[in-house]
Amino acid sequence: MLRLAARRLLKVVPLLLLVSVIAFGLLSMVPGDPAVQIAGEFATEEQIAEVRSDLGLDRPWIVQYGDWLGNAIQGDLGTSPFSGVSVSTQIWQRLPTTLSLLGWALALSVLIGIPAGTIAGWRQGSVVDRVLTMGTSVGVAIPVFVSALVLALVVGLKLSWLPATGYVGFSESPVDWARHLFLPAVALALTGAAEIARQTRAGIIQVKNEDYVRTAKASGLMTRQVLGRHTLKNAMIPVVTVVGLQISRLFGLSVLVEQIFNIPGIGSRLVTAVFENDVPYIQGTVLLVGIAIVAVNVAVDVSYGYFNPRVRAA
Amino acid sequence: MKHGRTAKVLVILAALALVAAGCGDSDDGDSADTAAPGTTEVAETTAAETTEGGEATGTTATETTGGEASGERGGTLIWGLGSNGANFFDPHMATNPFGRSWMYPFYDRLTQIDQDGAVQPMLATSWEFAEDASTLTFELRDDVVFHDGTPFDAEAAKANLDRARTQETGAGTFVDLLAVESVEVVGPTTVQLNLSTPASALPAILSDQAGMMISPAAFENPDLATMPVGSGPFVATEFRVDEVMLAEANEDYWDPELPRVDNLELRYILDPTTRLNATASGEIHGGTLDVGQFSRADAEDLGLVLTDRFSTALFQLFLNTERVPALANPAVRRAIAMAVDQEGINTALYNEECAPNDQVFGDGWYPHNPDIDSDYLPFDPEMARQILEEEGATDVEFTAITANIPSFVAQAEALQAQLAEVGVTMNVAPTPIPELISGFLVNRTADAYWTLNPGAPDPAKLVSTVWLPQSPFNPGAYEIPGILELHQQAQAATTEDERATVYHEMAQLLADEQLSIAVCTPASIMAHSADVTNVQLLSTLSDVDVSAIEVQG
Repeated sequence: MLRLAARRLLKVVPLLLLVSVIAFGLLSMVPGDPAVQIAGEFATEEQIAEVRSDLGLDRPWIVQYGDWLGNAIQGDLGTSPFSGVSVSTQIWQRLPTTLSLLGWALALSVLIGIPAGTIAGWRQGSVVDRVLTMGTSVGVAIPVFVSALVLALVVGLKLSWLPATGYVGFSESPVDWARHLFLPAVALALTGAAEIARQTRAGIIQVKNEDYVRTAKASGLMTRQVLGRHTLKNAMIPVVTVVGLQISRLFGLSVLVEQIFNIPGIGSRLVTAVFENDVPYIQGTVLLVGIAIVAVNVAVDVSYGYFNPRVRAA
Repeated sequence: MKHGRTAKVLVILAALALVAAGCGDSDDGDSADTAAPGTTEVAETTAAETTEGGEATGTTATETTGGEASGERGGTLIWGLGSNGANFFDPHMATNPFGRSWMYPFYDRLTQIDQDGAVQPMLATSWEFAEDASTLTFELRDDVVFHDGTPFDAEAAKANLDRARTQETGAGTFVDLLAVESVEVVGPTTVQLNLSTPASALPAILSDQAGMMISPAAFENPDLATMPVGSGPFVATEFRVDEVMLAEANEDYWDPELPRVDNLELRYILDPTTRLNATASGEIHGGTLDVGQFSRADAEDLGLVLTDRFSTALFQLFLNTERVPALANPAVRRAIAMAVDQEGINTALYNEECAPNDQVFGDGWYPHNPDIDSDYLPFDPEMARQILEEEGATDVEFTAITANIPSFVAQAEALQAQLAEVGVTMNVAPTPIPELISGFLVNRTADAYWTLNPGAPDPAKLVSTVWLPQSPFNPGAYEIPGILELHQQAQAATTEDERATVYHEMAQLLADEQLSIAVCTPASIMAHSADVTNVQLLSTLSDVDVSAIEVQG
């Protein structure tokens, strides 16, 4: 397992470098001159040039990249040009909120998706299977921005069962923390749960017809043992892949959901950063999320070794 | 064994979630809790002081809306703002024209404008122009202290005015103070502005960012952009970029009636739907209603109360007459104005909250010329086409840049379709906000610019920003015959009646010239909960001064 993990980690180094180049390349891809915006509408050409020089924007691209990467490795992602506040500080303040939301969403996706898919697959063709399959089709089809708005308006505003917007820290009130995160997490989890359920169902159906499962059943093992020990584990590889993909997807969708539910995470800040042309923040966030997604992929790869010993040996 | 491992994984996951949550502690209170007003302190209820000039100060200087104040201080006010002016709390350097609402609670101004548009005292108790209009002398309050303990006096006022009028420091406010040649300290609480030209608009202009007083000791603070140090009714305690500004009541505030709450949270909520939902759900007490997205009925259906007032804002199409020579012809510009269906745009895009307007000064503002209604240049595509033919302008084509925000693009496209009906081709270029400034104002490479001008506290500021030959929003340096003389006359006029007469004439001139195509004046509307009173809107669009708001239980 360790060798597998080491191999995978070595392979991601060039990938991470590529991520950093793309993240930094955003600076040159973003239209407009941040110096003009910072200097203001009445600034003279000299003042604009001074701002450009202060920001180091007048240096060659490769020099700027080298500087940025060197600082980023030390945890310094630069400062937002208008506020002068460190990007690392902003991300550090907001990341836990986003991780709380993503943690909730992922937990709901898995806790709903795997049992639903297992039941549907184990009872293939039954009424339960048909209902669950239809439900997952609907879940996959509804865009997150629709489910988020419907949940906020109906459950939050019309019915007033849960807060429609806002966020409360865990230490301030664990109950309010959970209440505020529940609706956005459900909005995020619906599609993920549906996809995990479909993948789990397909995996279960495939595995349950294998000889070794039939043999296990014939040898008199209880259904729970057959399902848990012999079927579910072997059906998990594609499911884990989907869960990994869901994490990447959740990072992206959290931008929308944080905006709709007014959650002060890194995603909602990303939206305002785009409007402000706050390139350092965008670069920092893209780099961080890129690293997180690469890390998730490595974890998923390594987990194959747990579920399938043949991968470990490969 | 396997069950044990699964359980371990679940425990680790749960622990990670808790750690993440623990790290994510926010100071944001649950609205349900923090919104409940306490009765921690009863404000002094002394009568409003009277100035030397006999004019009332403090809250009595402005009318209030939304109900009667109870006289008690307490609770936390949470207000949602849709513009991110929070990124720059240095009023002299701030570049966002929609960012004033963030500054008012922290910065007092020399003057303030009341709900009728009249200039009233604030840090200055009275002011006087010299007979020959060569000086403007302010008498200042003697009981004001900045949040950092620095006393406010004539020296502090001079330091601020000098900073605000120096372009070399990067102060955008310098354009407001061009007429100020020098500033002199005449006495401990008397400051004199020596003027190079008559400037009767200055008292009004000093109610804006140019007149906001920063503690001179904080001028060099590296974090002044995020932690304001003024003398206002609230003291900033914590700022989180693009999220929230937390503040507490200034216990030493000179006006004993302010503030009305113990704590203030200004939250940045970009999305209009989220802002409205947050108000309806009780997360915040109120915020701007986006009239392009919601009608009054939408907000009222959610149980919210509306407070509104006229604004000095104007949706308009700025033109670069140098890049498109055909647009240097006033007849062509008038034809373009006649091709625009203002009422259709108002109905389809603004829920009937953007009053069609052929003049640059909105109804309700003293420079508004009552003889010029929205039919002054009637919507008449046939006539417009005929004028264009007579002027030989049958192939006019230009590209208008506009903010890459869906509502602005939709408005520009509506305009594009209407102009196409009369044979004018207007290409629409949705553009990132930084490029708008560089394209139209700095590099002057854009043909036209569709945007919302938020307005100004004084018409002179609007005029000098847009319609003079040297105005930044007139990149073609087009000179409207007679406008400079009228501008000078208005600056020399001392009473509002005299100024109104001049501005009525100017409104007529600008309506005939249409150097920027006027379309409509949007309303400023705040949607808030019923337990909030004293919501004070300013004449610049969507600007609110939350300093006097009271939260009732």
